[in-house]
Amino acid sequence: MDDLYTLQQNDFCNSVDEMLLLLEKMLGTNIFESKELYDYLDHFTKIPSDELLQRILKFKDSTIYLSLKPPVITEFSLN
Amino acid sequence: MKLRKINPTDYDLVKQYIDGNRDSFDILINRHKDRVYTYIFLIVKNHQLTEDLFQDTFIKVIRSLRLGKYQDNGKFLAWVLRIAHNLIIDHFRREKQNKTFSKDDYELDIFNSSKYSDCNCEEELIKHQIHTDIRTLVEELPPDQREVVILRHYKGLSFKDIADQTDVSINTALGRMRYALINMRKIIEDKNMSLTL
Repeated sequence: MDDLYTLQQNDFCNSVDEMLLLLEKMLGTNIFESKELYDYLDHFTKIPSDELLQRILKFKDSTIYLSLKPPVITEFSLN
Repeated sequence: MKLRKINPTDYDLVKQYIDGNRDSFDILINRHKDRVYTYIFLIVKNHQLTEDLFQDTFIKVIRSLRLGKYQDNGKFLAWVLRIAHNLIIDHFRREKQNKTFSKDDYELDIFNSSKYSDCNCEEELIKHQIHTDIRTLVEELPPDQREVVILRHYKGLSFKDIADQTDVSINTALGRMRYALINMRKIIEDKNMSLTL
């Protein structure tokens, strides 16, 4: 969590190199599944816009499932 | 594993989505959107960039689920946050490259490399002046805020160590740093100072 606290100050002192070092270091930790992180995120909650969510849901509905492809292609080849 | 219809777990929803129930993903995204968005924002501190990275994260999540790349171990949110984290790293790597190399006209230029992008003497002098100005700004802060700034940025202590050393909680230390930055920005504006190269 210390690394995250440090990253939060990035606009003040950390160079891109320092940011990258910290971010890469965090990959080797279990921060992503820590309750401390989830509590911290809940405390400083920022909410994404509805428009952004709609864009993602639209993407989700815009393409067909890969699992549907083989039978469809087989059907075409039979015709 | 038995799927639950009432209060489904993340595993239930992922399984349902992979099995063709598209609405299950809507529940998943609504369940975790705020934490994922907040995580990205806390690091990049820019709403537009956060939106881009948030969108890329969930597009990658959707693609990975469809390709069967997700192995459930009961940690769906951790998996999504890790994807977001990797995309943040990719962003900073790109930013680093862009700062060092330009691709003007795509021509090969032997001087267009990081080796020659170090500061020159003039930049060093300006940098020195900026550091002096910042030190003056720090001196103008209230004592509790000044203490946190000095411990963090001049002595390199972590916020946990600062909290221990100054006998306050981590949140208080972070809060003091936040107010210190706000105050310093205000002084910069009031005095019309320029602190960039």
